[in-house]
Amino acid sequence: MSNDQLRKIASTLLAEGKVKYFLGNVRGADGFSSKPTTARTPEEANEFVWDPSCVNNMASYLHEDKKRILKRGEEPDTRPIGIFVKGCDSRSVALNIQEHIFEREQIYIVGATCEGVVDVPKLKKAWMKRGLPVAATNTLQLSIVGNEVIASFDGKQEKFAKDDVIMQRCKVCRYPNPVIHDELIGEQVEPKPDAYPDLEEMEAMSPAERWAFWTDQFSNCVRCLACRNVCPACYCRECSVQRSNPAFGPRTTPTEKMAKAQFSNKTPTKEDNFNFHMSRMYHMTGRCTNCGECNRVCPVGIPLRLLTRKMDKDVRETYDHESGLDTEPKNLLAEYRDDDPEGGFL
Amino acid sequence: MTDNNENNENFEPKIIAFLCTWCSYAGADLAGSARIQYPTNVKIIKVMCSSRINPLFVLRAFRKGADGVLVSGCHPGDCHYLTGNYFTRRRLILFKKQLEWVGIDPRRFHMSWVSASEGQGWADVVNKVIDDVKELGPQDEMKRKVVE
Ligand code: SF4
Ligand code: SF4
Ligand code: SF4
Repeated sequence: MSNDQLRKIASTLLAEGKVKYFLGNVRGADGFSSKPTTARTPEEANEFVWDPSCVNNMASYLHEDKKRILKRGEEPDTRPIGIFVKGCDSRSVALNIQEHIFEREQIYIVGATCEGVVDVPKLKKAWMKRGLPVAATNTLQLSIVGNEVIASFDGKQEKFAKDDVIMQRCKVCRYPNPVIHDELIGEQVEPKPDAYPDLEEMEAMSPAERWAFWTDQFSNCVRCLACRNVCPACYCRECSVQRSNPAFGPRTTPTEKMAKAQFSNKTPTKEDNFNFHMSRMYHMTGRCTNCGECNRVCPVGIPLRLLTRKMDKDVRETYDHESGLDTEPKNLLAEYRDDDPEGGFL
Repeated sequence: MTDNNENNENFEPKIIAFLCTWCSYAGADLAGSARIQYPTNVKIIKVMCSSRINPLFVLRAFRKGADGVLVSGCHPGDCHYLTGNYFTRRRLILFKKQLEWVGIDPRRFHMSWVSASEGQGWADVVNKVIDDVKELGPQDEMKRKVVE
């Protein structure tokens, strides 16, 4: 149903030439997941899917447009980019507009209200446990009805409890309806209550326990930088934690030295991983929209969402700031109020 | 931990202090010219404004083996550049919370406002920081272990 709606909108836009290309999801090779893709023709757009397997935040792929170098003599294409967003992705797009990476009219946003998306590894596990045929996934259709994820294949239906298989971020999602959009698919969805149940366990720990927990986690990090690459808010040309070793000569000016200062070495040692994660966390302060992509892509399963959620909570409690809710320029660390709290200054 | 406590008697912490040149550095200068005694554990790095201090500098100091870090600037409203320290305030308060979240003792990292006329104030801040860090013992968590 919603598949058809998305396909129709996207293919019409492409056929009429209103967008230069359209970012959306198609079915992945394993039959469960979806993979992000760029559609340039209406036919390609007719492959799009919109179902609970669309975990990818398409806003991350907007940055590719900035990186592309024009061929000699090529005129820049000024048409907007079409993009498919869920509630959480729309905040990432809004953040990019707030930070002037894109202007509002450069992006054509097709939003979809969202009941939640499945955690594909979890679903696969549950699938295997029940001994369901893997071949059936070729015809798999996913949908969420009430508290159940329904997988239908070959005319049969299989039901999974929603809480067991959906992404952790969807259990606390406060913006399931896109905050900005040009076109909207689906009915409005009830947001989850404003609470941080996922942080409670960690908050109850003592500092020593937290340190033990995080050193253990950080020492697993292989510094693949997937968490950085996938993040829709990370778009620097040169990342502060991934600088090439600077050559210092007698004529290197202090300014050049400063610009090349290395804050963490590339080797994934425990201490450098700590530095990397603290840098990433700090750079996301007041910008992270809690899309949870970093957590999803980490190959060693570091719960990065615990860092970003905590930050989100701090920022909201202390400064009543939340990024990516509209397109007005707004930046927590580039603004101030005279009466900001004074906590902790001697 | 017992090791630390035994050594605490003669443990001389290394404290890196980032001071803004207009207020805090002048304050430290005043403490010197007024011959106010304070411990020599503080190594001062002068910057033009406290908002020049990237929180990553703090991490870098820890990584290079500092036992404690102090950042100090003008009182809010007194900034030489009018608004610099308002930004510092937001950054550092949040940064400190993040350090706490991963389990770093908040007493390792201090922030203060010291004006150019507060020579005694500066000495008090330094004493407080050194007391705190001495209590904690040497910092080994964030220090880089391999030779650069
Ligand atoms: S976080 Fe919200 S908008 Fe995003 S996928 Fe989950 S339910 Fe949908
Ligand atoms: S994705 Fe995971 S392993 Fe890779 S750099 Fe990030 S935290 Fe480390
Ligand atoms: S830090 Fe993680 S949760 Fe936050 S915007 Fe980036 S990918 Fe999303």
